[in-house]
Amino acid sequence: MRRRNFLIGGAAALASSLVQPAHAQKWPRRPLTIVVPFDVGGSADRLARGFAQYMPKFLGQPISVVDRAGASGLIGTNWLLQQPADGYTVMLTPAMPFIPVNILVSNAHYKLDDFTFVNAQWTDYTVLIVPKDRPWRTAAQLIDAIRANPGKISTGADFGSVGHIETLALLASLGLKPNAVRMVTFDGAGAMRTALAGGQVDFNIGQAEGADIIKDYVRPLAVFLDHRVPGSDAPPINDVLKPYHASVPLLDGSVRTFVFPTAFKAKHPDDYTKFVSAYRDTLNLPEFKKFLHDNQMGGDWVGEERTTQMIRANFETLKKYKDLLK
Amino acid sequence: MIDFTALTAALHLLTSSWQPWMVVIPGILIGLLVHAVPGLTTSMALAICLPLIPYMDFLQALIFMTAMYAGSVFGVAIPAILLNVPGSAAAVGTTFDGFPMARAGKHNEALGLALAASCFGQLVVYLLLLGLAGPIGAFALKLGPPEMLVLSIWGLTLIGTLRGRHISRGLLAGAFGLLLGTVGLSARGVPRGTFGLDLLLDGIPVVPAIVGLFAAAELFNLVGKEYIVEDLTQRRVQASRILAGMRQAFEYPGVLFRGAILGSGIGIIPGGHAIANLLSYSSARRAAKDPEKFGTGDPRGIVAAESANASSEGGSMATLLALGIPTGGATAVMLVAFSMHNITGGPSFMRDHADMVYAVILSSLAQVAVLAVVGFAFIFVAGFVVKVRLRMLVPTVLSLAVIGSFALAHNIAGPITLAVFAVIGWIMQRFDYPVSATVVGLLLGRRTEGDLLRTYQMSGGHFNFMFTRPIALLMLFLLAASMLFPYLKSGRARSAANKKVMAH
Repeated sequence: MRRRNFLIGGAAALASSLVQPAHAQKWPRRPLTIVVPFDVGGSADRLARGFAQYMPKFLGQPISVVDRAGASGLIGTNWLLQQPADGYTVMLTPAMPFIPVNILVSNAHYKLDDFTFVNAQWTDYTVLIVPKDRPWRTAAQLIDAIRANPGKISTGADFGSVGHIETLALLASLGLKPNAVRMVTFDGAGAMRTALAGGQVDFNIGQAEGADIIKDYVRPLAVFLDHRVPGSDAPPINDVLKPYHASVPLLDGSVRTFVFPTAFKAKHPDDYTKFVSAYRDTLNLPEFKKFLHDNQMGGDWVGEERTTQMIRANFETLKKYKDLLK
Repeated sequence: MIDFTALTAALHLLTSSWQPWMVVIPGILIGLLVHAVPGLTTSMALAICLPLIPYMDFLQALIFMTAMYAGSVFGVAIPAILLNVPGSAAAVGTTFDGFPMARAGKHNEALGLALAASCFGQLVVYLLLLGLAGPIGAFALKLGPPEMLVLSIWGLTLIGTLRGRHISRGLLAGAFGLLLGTVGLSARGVPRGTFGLDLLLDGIPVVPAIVGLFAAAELFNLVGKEYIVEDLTQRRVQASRILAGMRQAFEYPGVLFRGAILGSGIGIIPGGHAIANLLSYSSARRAAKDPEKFGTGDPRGIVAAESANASSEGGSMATLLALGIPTGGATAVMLVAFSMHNITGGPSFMRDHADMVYAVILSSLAQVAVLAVVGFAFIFVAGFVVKVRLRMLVPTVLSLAVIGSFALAHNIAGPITLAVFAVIGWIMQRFDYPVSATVVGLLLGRRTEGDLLRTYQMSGGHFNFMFTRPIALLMLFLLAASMLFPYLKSGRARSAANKKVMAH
């Protein structure tokens, strides 16, 4: 019975494809590819694999995931721009910070305008943490220690990351020289995380999620948000800085979103709308919600306009502070 | 140390049904086969099979992944021995003596040696993990940039021993490799030697470069010859001789054990498993009474490289299993597979899923036994490569290598790198510069520089910082001692000989 249905369905599909002229067929006619510009196992990759499992139900086509890692996302992003802008290739990436950082720090050949940012689905913030065996209980104690012993306390940074820029901005706002701390630069957030868990450096400003993986080994002292986070004692950093008459810009630590080349939406607005509606349906699917929950991933809907504003605002702030990296 | 409740639960889980174990043989075979194509890696094989995971139940997925892991850990040795093409950085040390043995008609023994050493290395590291996963993981965290720097320096000393006929050319080749290793974005965010190419920002793709250097240096060398093994009477595949090779591995218990322990230790460091085989090879060579035999087809070379390679892959699982922190490609993919079954990493991993941790270790131990049998059958078949005429074999291997390099880099940069390095390798070979010294430099250059930079940054420029790092100091002392030891020994032997002469 089932086979027969399949045959009939197949024949019908064949017939309709013969009857309709090719351009009248509905997008998508073939499988989609989600490109992740980072390695297998990272947050964007895990999220993409969730979509590959649940989204085909609404798109009517299978999805495959490819990981094109390299140069902090630059290689994969370049690859996306080299593909035809027909919607069959979409990128899933922490667009903030990596696209602005690629442009500002690594001199990437693309611009912010080259991309359509679909939706900031899963955002992350920045935290100040110290290994548990260090004596400082509050951010103020740490700041006082740095001021009392310039050049003695060490911090880890993934070069060019938001955490790195926040570290430099914090020092600058306190009127301290960059060499007031020993800045240890790691190749990637993973290596830095392991070093933090092992207490190789005295403090770190970095992504909250990364800190979560090693939460048994570190103590959060402040969050780079304008409010507290439920379930944590860490105060907002600018509250800590008030007595010092200082403040730092609050950059978004990580904004994960689907990204298309701008040309896709311009040339095929209907196809783009179709993708967005399949995407929203997936976000509302109970099984997918459970997947996100089990894997501690975000599933927000803020839309293209606000996402683009967010990334743009971050980009402008980063631009002001990028000279600190030199 | 061992949590017996969790251990029993793990045993119960693994033996609850025999059906999931049906995936063991396909798993091991996929692992072995993937490495028949130089350039494909363990983490890639695992990633390719990831879409299958949601369709398996958890136990089946776990057994499948550990089986594939076990297979691929050994798989790299096969092209290294038969064709002198290391499938990844982890098999560079295996080529040094493996290929000379194969050319001398001892391919059966060489493959057997590698299989036995690989199984032994895996056995040792998983037994260690079974008893000491927690402490090993905790110790791994104590190793920071200074300790990694000492390890890298240790690896670099190997360049001095890979010099070939001319010391100066060996050192020059090594320095060339070190320079190549600095291409790309430094840890300090400075792009160097990229010629403005984004593709070079992550440095020269190491595996295509290694395959290019080795393949060209040796395969071009073989042009004009008929077969890998020139002696017709030796050109056979014999199960009895493979078995003899497997037995022979245990004639060097010291080399075997040192390799397995070294590998386990180095493997726990992120990225360590790529260099464990080289460090083990160099230490075995240094400890030998007749180091000049290494590199000419000495069984000890294969045993040292393979036992360390196998155990280091297991060692890299220590931080994942004990702390839930993945340190590299393959372990990160395994964590993804777990998360598809709603088991997430992080600090709660060992605490909440101790039975899973034990299940992974026990299952890996079981894979070792299966690997010994399946691997034996596999190398028996793979051994027939020696019967293929070189004029067919060389182009086939080169095409496979090009495909593999494309798969690895996902773009034409892979094949281009391979071609460029094939030319460089051929020129170096032509003028008697040892390519292996360049490969060691290329493998270690980037790491050494990064760790040197980080050590300097951590110290704040004060040399006495090193006195706060007892592990690094101890390692430096051991390194110095092991380098001086052969001279002391030969000095004593000479003075003893002198005394004898005087007595006469």
